[in-house]
Amino acid sequence: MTEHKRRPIGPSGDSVAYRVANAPKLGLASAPVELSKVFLLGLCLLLPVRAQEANNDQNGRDERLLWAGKHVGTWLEVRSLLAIVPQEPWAVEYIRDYHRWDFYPDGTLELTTAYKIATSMRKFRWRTYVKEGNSFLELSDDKGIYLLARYEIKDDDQLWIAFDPHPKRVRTHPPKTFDVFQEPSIMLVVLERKKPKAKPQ
Amino acid sequence: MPVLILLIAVAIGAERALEEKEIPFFDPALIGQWEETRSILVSKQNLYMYGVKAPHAPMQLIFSKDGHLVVLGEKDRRTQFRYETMRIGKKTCLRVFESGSEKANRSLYTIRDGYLYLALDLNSASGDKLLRRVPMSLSELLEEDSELFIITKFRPVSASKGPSK
Repeated sequence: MTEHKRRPIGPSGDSVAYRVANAPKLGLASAPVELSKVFLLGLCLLLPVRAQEANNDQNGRDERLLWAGKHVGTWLEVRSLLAIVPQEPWAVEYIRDYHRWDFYPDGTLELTTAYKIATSMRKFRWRTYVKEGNSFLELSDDKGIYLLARYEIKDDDQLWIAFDPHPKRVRTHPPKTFDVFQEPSIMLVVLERKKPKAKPQ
Repeated sequence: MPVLILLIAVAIGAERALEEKEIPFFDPALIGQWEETRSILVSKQNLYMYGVKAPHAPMQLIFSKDGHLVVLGEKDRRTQFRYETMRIGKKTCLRVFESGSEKANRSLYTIRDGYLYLALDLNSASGDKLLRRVPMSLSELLEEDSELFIITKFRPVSASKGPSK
């Protein structure tokens, strides 16, 4: 290794020319060491990215989050469709009227559902992502994913949310289409954006 | 001119009256055994009214030539009814009478591509609200304004029952 002249470099100290002249000279012997350092540094920088990508691949998601602003606001149920095949079980707690969805920009959701005369409100975290050109909505709580649904926003004021009520698929496999005549079992909730009340004139 | 308008109005009225008229007929395509394969419920916040367990044994319908309908339900429970088929305009309608009663439930039916489709409005026991074209497209289903409306799709059970298109 070349021995360098060590001089303190203060704010008013050495000129650029001095520093260049006294910069460490890389000899042939030091090249592998420096290259190894660069390689290790690169590896350290790349590993987390690759790990994230591998994780995404495992989940089958590309994690491209959609613009949340489209969902934010209050949506009210106007219609629900449930297609069932006799032999297929369904998760009973998911078969209910999904009256009101309050999406907040901080990623939380207040979901008001009704079954018979009982109405209840639950809080979830929500996120959306795109996979193979389809849009998905994921609701989760402290226990993990509660619901994985496919969705589509129509004309900016209608939101279709479809999920498979089968107990083993409701959290993992949303329906491939919105077709209630083809999907094994599907629940399609049609929501409309709650419009602000017109001011009395 | 007023006479012409009057004649047109009478013709339209007569056509509508014919469309509404129920004409009984015998439908051989219906005879035989059918098994439930799928049900589609359309609801306006009344989904809970559909009280069927899941999974459940597929319901079977057995239509006989003598006007009897046997419904095979869970645990081979058999319930017998009388039925009539009729045309209302271009629609085909099924009336099912409760045992020993003249009270009937009316639903529209269609046999298409070998499958029987029955449309039933659970919220009203009678009236024109029951009569719908089946199968419906998704957009038609979404326009459906019934409180709770069900389309049930049946497949023929016996191979001898050929699909009628």
